[in-house]
Amino acid sequence: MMREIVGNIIIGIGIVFVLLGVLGIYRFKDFYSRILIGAKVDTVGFITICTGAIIRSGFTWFSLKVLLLVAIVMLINPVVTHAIASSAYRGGYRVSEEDDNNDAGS
Amino acid sequence: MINIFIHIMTAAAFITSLRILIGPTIWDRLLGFNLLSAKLIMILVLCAILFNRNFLLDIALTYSLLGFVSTLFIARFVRDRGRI
Repeated sequence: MMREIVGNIIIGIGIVFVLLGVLGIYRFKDFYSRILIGAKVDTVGFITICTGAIIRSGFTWFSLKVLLLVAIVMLINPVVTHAIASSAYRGGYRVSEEDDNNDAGS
Repeated sequence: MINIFIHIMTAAAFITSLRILIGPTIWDRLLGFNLLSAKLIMILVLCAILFNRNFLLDIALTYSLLGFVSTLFIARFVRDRGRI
């Protein structure tokens, strides 16, 4: 029973990370800062949710599969995010200068 | 407890899909699609915990691999406006 509570708490923390990622998507003006925040926080949220799932389900085949899923998504998500960002850069998307100043709050 | 988390995650997935609609550039849409599929995988993991079924995790694994390959190809296709 104790393990279930701890697992739920950790999954709750992961959910908070994911919601911060969703907030980050809408807060930033240009694409690059958006993808930087969105993808990174999403991966961290995913890892936290899956550790909560592993703690909650203990030492079974279920948690072994979740561990495999975590390993693969940790490998995949950064690669896909890099592919999107480099496709944007090579495709000619440039951040206009005056936008930079607004974000920096200067 | 877990179904509350699933409700929150579906709301977050819906908001992310709005970014696919709004996104000014096509790369915003690609980012929204990538984040949406990541959130769907999280929902699948939470459903696997809720229903205590193992095969849901295989679905999440397959879906993440397919999403990975398709997003990579779309990003490469869009980069040169269709000239691979």
